[in-house]
Amino acid sequence: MRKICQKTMMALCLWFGFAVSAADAQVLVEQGKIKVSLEPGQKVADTLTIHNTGSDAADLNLYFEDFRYVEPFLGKKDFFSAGTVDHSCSPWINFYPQTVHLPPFAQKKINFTINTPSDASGGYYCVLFMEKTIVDGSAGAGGEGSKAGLTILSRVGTLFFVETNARIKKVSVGGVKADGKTISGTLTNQGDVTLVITPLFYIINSSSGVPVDRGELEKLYVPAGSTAGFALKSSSEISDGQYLAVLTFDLEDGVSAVSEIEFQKKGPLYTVISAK
Amino acid sequence: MKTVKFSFIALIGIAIIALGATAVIADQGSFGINVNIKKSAAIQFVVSRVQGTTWTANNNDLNFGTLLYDGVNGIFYSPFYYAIDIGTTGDGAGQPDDISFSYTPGTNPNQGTTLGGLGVKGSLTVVKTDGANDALLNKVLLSKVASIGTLDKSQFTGGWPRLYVGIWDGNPTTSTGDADEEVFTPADNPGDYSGILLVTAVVN
Repeated sequence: MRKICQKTMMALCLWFGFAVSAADAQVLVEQGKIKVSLEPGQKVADTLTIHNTGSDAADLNLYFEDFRYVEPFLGKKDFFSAGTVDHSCSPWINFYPQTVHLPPFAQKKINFTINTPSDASGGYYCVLFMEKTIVDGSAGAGGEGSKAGLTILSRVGTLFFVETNARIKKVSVGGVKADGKTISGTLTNQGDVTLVITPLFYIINSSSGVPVDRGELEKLYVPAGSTAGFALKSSSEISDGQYLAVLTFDLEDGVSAVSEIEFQKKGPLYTVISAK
Repeated sequence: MKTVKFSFIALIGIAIIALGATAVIADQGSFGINVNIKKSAAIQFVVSRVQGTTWTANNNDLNFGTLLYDGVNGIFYSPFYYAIDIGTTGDGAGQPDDISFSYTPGTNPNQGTTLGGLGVKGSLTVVKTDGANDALLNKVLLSKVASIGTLDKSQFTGGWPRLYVGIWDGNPTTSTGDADEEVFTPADNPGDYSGILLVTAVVN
């Protein structure tokens, strides 16, 4: 059976390196995330800026969708049609223009207005997409037999985080346990906004009071009412003994929560003594 | 614009150095310094058509054209495939954390038959490349690109994401291994097979 070995072709092609001229149209949105804190009923107007940093003109369609961070809450998002997810702010935001022609190396300001309802409470979220067709596979069809073409659309987004001033930022830590050299637990968002959490830690020797390790864990993106896991693994070898791990969960806007975990290390095993 | 931004970043750098120096003079303790650079998102594509050892810049379409017939094996095939390099480095902080894919079927002359459309006859391969070497990350049917999930920028340290898009020709070494995968054969209805691949880039 005659077959074309694409893998071999790829390997041969790569000998030529990456010396391929570019179909160059890059869309850059300056504000990847817009976070505002408002009183219910308040209106604000602002702008965001998009650039075409490429040498080809770009035509963009702008539209809203909703998004939601999904498990394990490390930043991955699912996207939904605008206004279909609880606590969507897309119905409140007007923007102009909705289509944009960007000549090479040009920029354009997008005006938007946020009209917060008077009964708003907590956090509301949506994403404004700027979409461009980079390749259109529908062109060139014709002739006999089967033909195939793929159209590729690319889009960059600006995330909107609209929260009321009286928002609640609160977490609880639970399920702390040791598994080999890892101490893990869960973090539940008990507030009414999506929390972007930076967990910081330091470990001190309970006997000497000397710090033996410190660092930062992976950021967590936890919607209200959701629970995410965290795992603390010491980056350095520590000797047998009793230790206190102090975890500070930075919830942004000057809010943080602290958890203290006392544990013992004996040989390769860690045992949690207490957690509060 | 780049000059202005570079100057701004340079000024921040100078400010950090000056602040650090002041701190050292004032006290020998340690100090935390926070600098918040606006987090932008950008995405750039370089599309190439690959045929044999020839890479050709491809500006306008990702069209496999009229497929060729291999009478010996009784299949239709495309003599080329596409490589799409994704650039995510913008001005300074212009790196989206999160790149994801979705596929929407287009025209499918096999509609109503047991045979599938482009979604099961084409595949997407995601690699981390440095221009000389590829490290395979994912290889899936076009119809299942959503299963790739999110590509995080940390996966591409020392390289960049590259996508290969091709029509399967029955070669086991280029197969996705998916039980649903199909080749074009004379049993397929003639016509235009199409679909839309959506690439999304956002920050976290």
